[in-house]
Amino acid sequence: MNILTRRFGTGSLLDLANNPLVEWTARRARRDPRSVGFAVIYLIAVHGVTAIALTLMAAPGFGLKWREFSFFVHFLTWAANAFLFGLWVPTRFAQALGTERERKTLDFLRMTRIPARKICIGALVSAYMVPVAVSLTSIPEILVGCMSEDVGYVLGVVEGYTGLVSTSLIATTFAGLISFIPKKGNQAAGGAFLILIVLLSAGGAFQAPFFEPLGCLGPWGGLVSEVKDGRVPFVVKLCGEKLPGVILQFPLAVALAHIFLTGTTRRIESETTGFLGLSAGLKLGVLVTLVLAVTFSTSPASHEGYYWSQIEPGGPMAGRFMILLLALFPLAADTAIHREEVVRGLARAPEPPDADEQVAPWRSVFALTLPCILLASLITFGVEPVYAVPAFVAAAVTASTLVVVHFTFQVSRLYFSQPVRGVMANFVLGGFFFLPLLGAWGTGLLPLPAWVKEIPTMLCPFVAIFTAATARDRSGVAASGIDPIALSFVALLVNVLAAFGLHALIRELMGRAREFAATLTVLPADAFAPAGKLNKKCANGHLFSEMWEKCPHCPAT
Amino acid sequence: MLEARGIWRYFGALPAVQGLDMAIERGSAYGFIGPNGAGKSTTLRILATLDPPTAGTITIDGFDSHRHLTTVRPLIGFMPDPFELYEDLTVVEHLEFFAQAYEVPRHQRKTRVDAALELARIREYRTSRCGTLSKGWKQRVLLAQTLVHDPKLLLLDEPASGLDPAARIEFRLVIRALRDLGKTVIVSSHILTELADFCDSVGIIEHGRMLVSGKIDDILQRLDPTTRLEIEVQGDTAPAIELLLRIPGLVSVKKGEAAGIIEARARLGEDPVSARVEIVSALVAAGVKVAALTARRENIEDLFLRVASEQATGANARKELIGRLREKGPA
Repeated sequence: MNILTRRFGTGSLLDLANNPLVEWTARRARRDPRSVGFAVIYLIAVHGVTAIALTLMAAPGFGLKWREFSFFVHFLTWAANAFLFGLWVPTRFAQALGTERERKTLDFLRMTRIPARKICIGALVSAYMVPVAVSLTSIPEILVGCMSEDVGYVLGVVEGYTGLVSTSLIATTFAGLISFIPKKGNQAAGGAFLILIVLLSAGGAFQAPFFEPLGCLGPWGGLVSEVKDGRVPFVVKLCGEKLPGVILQFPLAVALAHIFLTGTTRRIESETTGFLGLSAGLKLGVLVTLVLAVTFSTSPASHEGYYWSQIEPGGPMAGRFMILLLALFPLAADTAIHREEVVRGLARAPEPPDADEQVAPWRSVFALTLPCILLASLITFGVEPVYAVPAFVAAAVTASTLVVVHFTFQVSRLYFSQPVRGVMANFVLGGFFFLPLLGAWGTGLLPLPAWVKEIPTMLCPFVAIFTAATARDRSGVAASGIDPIALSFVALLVNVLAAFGLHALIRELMGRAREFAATLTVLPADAFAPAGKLNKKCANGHLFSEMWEKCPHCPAT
Repeated sequence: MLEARGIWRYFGALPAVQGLDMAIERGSAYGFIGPNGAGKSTTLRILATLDPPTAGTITIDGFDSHRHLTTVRPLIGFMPDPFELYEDLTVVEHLEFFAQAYEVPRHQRKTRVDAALELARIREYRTSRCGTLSKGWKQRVLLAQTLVHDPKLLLLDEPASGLDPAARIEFRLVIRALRDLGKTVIVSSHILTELADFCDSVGIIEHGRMLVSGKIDDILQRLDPTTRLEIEVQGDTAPAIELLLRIPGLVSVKKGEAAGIIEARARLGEDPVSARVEIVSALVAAGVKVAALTARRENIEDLFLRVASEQATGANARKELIGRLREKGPA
């Protein structure tokens, strides 16, 4: 056992020396034609183009200046490395895990003494191995960038590459997590690639009013962080100080990567469990909440781009609660327990079921509500007391929406079998989020009082959150003249009623699961089933001989 | 060595394994028989701890496999079907990797790998890339991989599928050798002749339900305590059949398909040899010219065909199955 293993324990990121996957992947990479081919393309793209640019600069009469050359070389190298670490590495990581699953070699690995976390870290390090080795050759080009005024000298380069590392960490670990959704390696790679392209393409999203924290949470902030000259400044306001976004993004990226790796490890251990689990999901929720809170500011200085002379807190608050809703949505959906796990836990009676096998609605309600209340509490520190009520109403609408989402998924997972349950839950939720808007459009066509027309719109959570958060802003007045807080309460009331209804359904379905689990008894290999006579089936799925009128395995029948 | 109690596995609403009960002694070989889709592979994956059962408990070497997963897994050598290897590694590299993954001490690795290569009889291919090997040789590599950490329990799912007859005979010898080494072996197959040779006991599974389980002779005895006799006579069989029907202990007598052959089922009692002598004596005394009397011992094939569903095999399908079994079995 090496010193790092003793210090950090097996399975830690620093226990690479004792990870056979790392050692053997390094050997295999040397034989992989794709790795070799990719390295050649990278070397040509970076060094070849740099050499051409250098020649052009040296050529008399061409006019390429040092300033342009150094900026170009830096940008070229940075772009190549961004592609390498922002897309190539995540895709390869997803493909590696997907292929191990598809070829069932992951089963072999699971059977060995390598813990799931080590398998995960081994695959992650293996995905980085060749790209890191290849990118090290670009150090001369990076040094050229450090001498560029346009880049911002050393600080600009450091900022750019810190953002890139953060981006890569988030993207790669996220790609690993989603690689468990499809069944095949190439689908996992393709899926990860497409999702990352979509995420990276949404690079400007964090510039939209009140969505600045997305720059920290997503991979895009880092990608643009090196672009200077006041064009796309990725800044965050921390405790009143305007700082480069990467300072906040890097520790966040490490924390997010840790959470995503935990999720991936869970899936390597057992493919029947959810992705994140309650504990990791709660960590994610609290982390997002803290980021949303520390970047919250009503100071005009932190919203330079919006040409607002004075910022009212409603808009930033609404944006933050919407981000929180989206961030906690996977947790709300993922922590719903499948019927199989519930039955497994119940069938083990009198032994208590494991945590992953228990439907504990109130535990999830707590996990989903806590970040919302925390965010509302932290936000109200920085605003006038009059804005506290909108903050807490918006938090309540967000939390109640998440609880309804969770309960909907829970009912669906207890009632339907695969693959219907996922489709049904998404269908119901799609209706839940967007049907109100259609309803509002419909009522808009009818000659109804303004307040009646507003109610269906309020049932859409995003509208309800925005209405609640901006209720005390000068612009926060409903068309009907009714207090927006009252309208938000309609949404809250509907959510609460829906949650109680769904909770009753969960209880009913749990009762059925309990009855079903009681029928899963030992069926002895016996003479009750002479040759070819197992041709009757009871409602519980037991096969039995035709000599029996009723199923001999069901005490209730 | 292994005890499974009340194992259920549902895939959605479909019960793939239903209330399975198994108890397998240390150092024994257990044949797991059933038609395709009966639930053999699902059961083996559950026993290998790769899939969780919907209900039921599994104890391996005294450890609950659910509670002590990390203790139990290294005790198991699992050979699934179908499978894939790391195709870019050579055979010896592949085995070294798994030896390392199973934390075989460094100084023992080479010996273990060599022993596994020897046992799986694949030494001559040690430097070949796994991707270049034929299915039969890959199967041997997988067997070697299964053995490299010296597991106590071997779960082999259709280990000889895709092998030629000679290789299949060799495979049987290997499995017998493993049993003799004290390993507990569970082999699933639908090629029954493969199992007959080395299995101490069998379990027949259909629709995910264990129909019968136990020692082959015990099961046969329990299902039908009579012995099948084949009597060859010279001349007309009718008087002989008439005579045989009067002999106590003979429960059914009928004309066989071939000329001069009579098929009978008899309760031979505790002294079967004397009982057979009495039958022959009675026939001879009545003037029947007896050419031969053979007491045919039923084998695993008969057992399966008697127990397995008529629905599944049907009259025509059964004939087809027998033909296929004979065709696929080793020469």
